[in-house]
Amino acid sequence: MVKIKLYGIAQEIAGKGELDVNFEGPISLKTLIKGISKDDRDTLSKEVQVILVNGRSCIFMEGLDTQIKDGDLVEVLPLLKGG
Amino acid sequence: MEKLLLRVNLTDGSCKEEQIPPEVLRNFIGGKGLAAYYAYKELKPGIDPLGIENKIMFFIGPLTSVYNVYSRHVIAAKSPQTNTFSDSYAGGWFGAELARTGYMGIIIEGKAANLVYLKIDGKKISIEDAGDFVGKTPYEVDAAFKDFRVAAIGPAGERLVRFACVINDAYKKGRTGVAGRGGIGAVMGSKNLKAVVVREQWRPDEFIPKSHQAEVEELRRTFIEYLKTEVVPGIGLGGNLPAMQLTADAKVLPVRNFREGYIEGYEKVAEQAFREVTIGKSTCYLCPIACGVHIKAKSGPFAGLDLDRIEYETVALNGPNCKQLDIGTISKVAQLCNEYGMDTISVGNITGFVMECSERGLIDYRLDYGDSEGQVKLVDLIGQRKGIGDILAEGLMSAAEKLNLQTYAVQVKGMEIPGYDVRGPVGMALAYATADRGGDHLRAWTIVAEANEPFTIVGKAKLNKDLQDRNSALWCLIGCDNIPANTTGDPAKFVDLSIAGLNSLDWKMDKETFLETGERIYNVTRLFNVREGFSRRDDQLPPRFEEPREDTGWKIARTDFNKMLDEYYAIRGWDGEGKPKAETLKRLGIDKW
Repeated sequence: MVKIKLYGIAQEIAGKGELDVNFEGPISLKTLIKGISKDDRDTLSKEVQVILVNGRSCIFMEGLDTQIKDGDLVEVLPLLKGG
Repeated sequence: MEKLLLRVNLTDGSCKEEQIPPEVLRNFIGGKGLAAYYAYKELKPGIDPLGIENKIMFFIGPLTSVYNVYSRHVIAAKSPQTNTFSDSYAGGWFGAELARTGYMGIIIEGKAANLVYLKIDGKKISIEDAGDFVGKTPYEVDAAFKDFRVAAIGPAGERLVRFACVINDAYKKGRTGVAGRGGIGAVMGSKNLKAVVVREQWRPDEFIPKSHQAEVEELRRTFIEYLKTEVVPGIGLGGNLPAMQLTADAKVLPVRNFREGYIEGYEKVAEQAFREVTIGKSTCYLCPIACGVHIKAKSGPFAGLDLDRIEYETVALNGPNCKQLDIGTISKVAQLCNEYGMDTISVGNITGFVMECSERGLIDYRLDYGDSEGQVKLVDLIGQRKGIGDILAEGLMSAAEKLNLQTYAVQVKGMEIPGYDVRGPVGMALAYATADRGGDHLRAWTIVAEANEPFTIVGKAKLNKDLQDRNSALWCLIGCDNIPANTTGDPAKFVDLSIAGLNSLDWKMDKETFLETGERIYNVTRLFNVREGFSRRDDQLPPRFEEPREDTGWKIARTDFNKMLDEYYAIRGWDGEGKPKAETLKRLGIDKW
């Protein structure tokens, strides 16, 4: 099981702030994130610019190709807009 | 394209006018560009920023007083806080007034024997005794000059507080401007210069050549329409105050000296709470946006306190970062900072540092998180350089070194970090580390900017470079940061409009040249800093960002950060130590310097 936490606008896109996802076999961050948009919109839209895996930015791993494993914590932060 | 520079020497009292060479204007346009050019050419390496050899440089841009949203001015010098090149910008009305004297810049050299002010009354220049203004606030100085626009320091500048600021239009109706960061106010203080006061030579319509008036008038209408339809809707209340909700939602709001990124009850200091105490709005010259938020506190120990302008950064650093959620207390701190003439970001960050060190029992000074009275008292101590305030007035980095508490100092190159934790949005960490004036968010505010490749190191590095270059170009004019940061449309449109503005005055500018000018300027400020001894070892994060955050565990490992820094240097055409390569300088036409 992977826990996903979403903040700000990212939370609105997913329709919830926190969810647990079960999957079998290896899964990329891209596949994982794509599946959580509440209205089938691609969550990886302009609204999201930061994804952390276990507190580390995915840019320091393989980006969206980072393989997610059981027990990981994925956190999705929005772009700050209108500030 | 003839532009004049006023050169004033406070030691011998001389004032002379000179032409800015056409090739310099072509390559550096105005504002930041000219400040960078003259700072590199005229400030000898290794000088004491508070010594007689430093110079204060005021510049405006070619669009100032012509179009709205270019009314800002820059004040630059070698910073007494960071020892880097430092450029600090302020809105308000001073810049437009300066434009209508015919001067595009003022370079102030030397040191006066006693406190003086510089008076520019059209083309009549004089250095006047400021004995009556010793210890006076910027409000009091401004109030004394009914017919002039005034940029003044407060008592903190006179006392050489290293984060002293310069405040313009403090008392008069209209939005106040604050050149807040980098300690420019202390440089003025070191020269015994209390204020610069200006009065126009021409009325606004006389200022624009008749041959260009029709075109300018048409483009002005375009600007107004653009601002009303694409910027005002994104501004919210103003003062960037909507950012509180966004940073709290994203868990990147500094709390307890950056130990956490969220605080329960943040709503008490968010936009809606400020709406409820807003009693007026103010605007810079010609601008329809009115982003200046004037408030009156309704409750708490400072109920009834009236503050003419409040902004997100002031609130974030002196509020949640100090676990302070009382609008009145934050406003009182801001008011005191304005009266002393001190940067509110630095003061809030330093207060958080003191609170953490106090909690840990590391200093003999007691200040609890959220202690309103204690927080206000600390501002007085710093502004008056009394007790612990005297050490803190040297800036966070110096104070932390003296106390051997560097671990708790959240700063880069001596500049206290503003209101965004970067352990999630790591592109902002690169922005802090590579900002030419030290830990600053405005040179590349990546946290509000969309990257083409947000999930790669290359994408973050490129976004930083592009924003630094774009802003350096816009700050030649000097364009308002609120526009690209808050527009509901594409920020690039502001660049296009800015170029159209230049071309309406016969500049024959294209986008590529404009952005390359920004890149040239960013390389010149880098050359300045390299010459001062700065290198890769200084482009680093404070220890706090390498520690797991107490609430989320987020952190930036040094090895990860260095990968991002390597990529940034490579994209910039700088070597592994952060020094611009010969071919980069050649490409930008600054290899012969």
